[in-house]
Amino acid sequence: MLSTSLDENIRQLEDTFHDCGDLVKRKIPIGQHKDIWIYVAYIDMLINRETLESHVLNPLMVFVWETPPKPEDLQTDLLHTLTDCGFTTADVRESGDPAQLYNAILSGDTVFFVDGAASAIIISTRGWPSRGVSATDTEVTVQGAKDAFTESLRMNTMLIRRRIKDTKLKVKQLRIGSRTQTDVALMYLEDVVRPAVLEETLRRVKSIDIDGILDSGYIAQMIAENKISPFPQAQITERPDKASAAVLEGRIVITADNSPFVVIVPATLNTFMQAAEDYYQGWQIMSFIRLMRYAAGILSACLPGLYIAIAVYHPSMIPALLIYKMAGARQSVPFPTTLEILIMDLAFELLREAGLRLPGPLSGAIGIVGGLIVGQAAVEAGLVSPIAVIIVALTGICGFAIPHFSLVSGLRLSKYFILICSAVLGLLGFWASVLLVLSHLVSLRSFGFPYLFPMTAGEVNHYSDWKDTLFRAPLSAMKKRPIFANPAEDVRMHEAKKG
Amino acid sequence: MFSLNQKISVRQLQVLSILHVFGAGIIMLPRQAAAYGGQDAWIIVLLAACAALIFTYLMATVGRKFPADSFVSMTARLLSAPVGKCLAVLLALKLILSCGLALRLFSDILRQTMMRNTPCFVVCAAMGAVGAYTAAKGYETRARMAQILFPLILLPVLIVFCLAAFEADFSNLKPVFSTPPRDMFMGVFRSSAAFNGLELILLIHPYARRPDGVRKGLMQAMIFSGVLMALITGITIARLGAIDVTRQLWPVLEMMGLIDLPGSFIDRQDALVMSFWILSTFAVVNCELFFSALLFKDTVGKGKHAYYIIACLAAILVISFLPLSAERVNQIQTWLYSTLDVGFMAVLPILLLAAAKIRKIGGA
Repeated sequence: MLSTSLDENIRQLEDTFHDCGDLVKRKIPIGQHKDIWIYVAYIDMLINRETLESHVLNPLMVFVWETPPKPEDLQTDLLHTLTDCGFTTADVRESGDPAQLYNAILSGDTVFFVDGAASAIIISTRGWPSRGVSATDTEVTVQGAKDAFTESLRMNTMLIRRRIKDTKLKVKQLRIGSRTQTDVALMYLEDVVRPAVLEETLRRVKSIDIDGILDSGYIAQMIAENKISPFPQAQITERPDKASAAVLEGRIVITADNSPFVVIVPATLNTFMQAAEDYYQGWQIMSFIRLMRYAAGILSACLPGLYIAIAVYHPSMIPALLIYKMAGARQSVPFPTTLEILIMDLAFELLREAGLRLPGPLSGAIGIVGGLIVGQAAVEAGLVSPIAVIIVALTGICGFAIPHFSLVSGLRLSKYFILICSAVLGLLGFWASVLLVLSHLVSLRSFGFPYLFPMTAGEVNHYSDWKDTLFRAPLSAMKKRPIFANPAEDVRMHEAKKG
Repeated sequence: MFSLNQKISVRQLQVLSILHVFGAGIIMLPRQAAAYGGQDAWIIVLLAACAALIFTYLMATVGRKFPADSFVSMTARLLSAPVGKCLAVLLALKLILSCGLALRLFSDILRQTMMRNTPCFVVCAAMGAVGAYTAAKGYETRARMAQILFPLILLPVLIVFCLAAFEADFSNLKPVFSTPPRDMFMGVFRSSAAFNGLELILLIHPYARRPDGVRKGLMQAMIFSGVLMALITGITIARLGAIDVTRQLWPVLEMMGLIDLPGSFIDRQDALVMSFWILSTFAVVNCELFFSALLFKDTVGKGKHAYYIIACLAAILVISFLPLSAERVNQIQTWLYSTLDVGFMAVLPILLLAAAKIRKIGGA
């Protein structure tokens, strides 16, 4: 607890913040006779100077001096007098706990220690330089909102609040990370979320014991049920419209300070195949695109393995004309088919990684280098056959067609597993590995929900979730919320009254 | 929220049963039925399905009386603990033998059609390992897997047989009802072996979310399987002729090889269809592995299910590695059916129902 001695409190604070050059502190005399001492402390650039100077220091140093409180108030309850009439800002609170005060300073608040008081005043002055709301980089759509989340937690909660103007939208705030003390907020619709899911999410988030949370990705990994699985069990997005849609479905959005991505739980494979734009355009074209995405997902994991199994073990399945062409193209290739595909695929992965890390204008150059020069040169040099380039390119394109990169990562790893099994055992190996991946997927759960819902266990919700799976039904037909919602609030569209 | 108690819905149970019955029986069934009934084979299959329906009814009625009891505890309550444990071990051994033989047969078919140079033990070990992995994940996982595999297995087969029906000569099915009653009876008896695995109905009630709906659900599943198998048998005979069907070891596969898929990119669709047999054999292997391990675990009363699965898998692989010809495997399977399968599917349920009646135990 704090001492009533201001000097003792200053000594304690300076010991704690020893060698912290960014801490700004000043002992200030206030009052008509300048005989009342206060001590102000904050971290430079973590605060909004305008708020501090206009709404805190100015009233304290000028206004109080000009119209002083009653002397008896100053003597009996200086702290409350200052809290009540010393500042022209609303977000003011008191605390006598040094840990809480120091946390407040580190979070961008300004703390005032007052002589003779065993408590200090915390004034919310948070405001640091940050980029404003900008357009989304990773989830681009043709139609729909362009804004993306930012690194500021409050900005992110605002972006969702702006879309859902409902008092039932709750923002439960926590701090995680023993050293980073990162602010984390859980956003949900109180009546639509399933209480058991909310309770479980809170339990898992609170049980995270780590020194620092530097991105929401930490949370997504640490609250996953199966930590060995390469498949994501929580959805990550930078689109506020997608996060808001998830909240309306009864899911929970977790946003962390300093991260422009939010985590959405629960998540199933189907939710990773959905893009925000799916609901902004007609159901016919979007159903077609949804179907294409599923096909792309399967191909991105299976195509190289299937090609190897058929080309190496069962060429008799391929029509004669095609097999002659393939054999002709492979005539000068010195590597076995498996190695040829592996080399091309790894080269593709390297080019993709290089393209991601390079600055924007240069990443285009990598695409040209990869696509034109490496691919064409490798074929012309006889190192790989054109069909291998086609297979690898098609696999890569299929991966890009899936809206969530975290699912693509899982599929990419599965691809290598299927490829190796197919190379060893042909079609038997292909099917065996596909079955193993499928077994793994069906055994996965996200907050109790089967990962492959509604393809499995769809009957639990009377197959209603099928309306937004392989195909997207017309919006007017999707009257019920998905399985994630509280059954008591599962209707989102009431029948129009007739007459 | 979803339960974590390994309970499954009646729909999932139906899918599991159809896949198991279909995967276990269809490859051999037309030949077996045609051997006794010639062009009447499809009638034999329909009658065998009726017999399977009666077995299903009997076993599901027993299970309905003891919905929360495992096989071991149910038989212990009705026939004493030692008898219950002996029956459980016998059933587990039967499942292991049956699974080993099915795996052996599968590896033979696979090597004949797709992988001539791959040793038998590699095929068996690969399929066994995949089946064991899924079995170890639990009953709910198996049920969900079956829901995924159901369309993958049945749709291509249905498409192929529909196409086959267009080119079939249905005069090959004439004259109908020309088989003598004795042959018809023997044919029905032998063909109902295709429905082996039905005895597992005695074990599934504790896993059902709504045990009272199991009997009706399973009866529907058996009707579906029976009609489908009769159709496939009828089309196979119409396409190949009864004599040819009896001469072929695997007439269904033979017929698939003859079909021209319109606009098909693939030259040999029998290899493609075999891919789907891999899936259905997987359904059989993981089912029999799961239940044999469960029976041993319930009998011993301790230990993890996964450890028993590993032990059962080892035994199954040893059986599947035995140098047995397809004919010999067929003979052993017929013997298994005539003795243990009939015992578990028909005799035991009647005994259990009688014991329940006499001792006045069990629900309505």
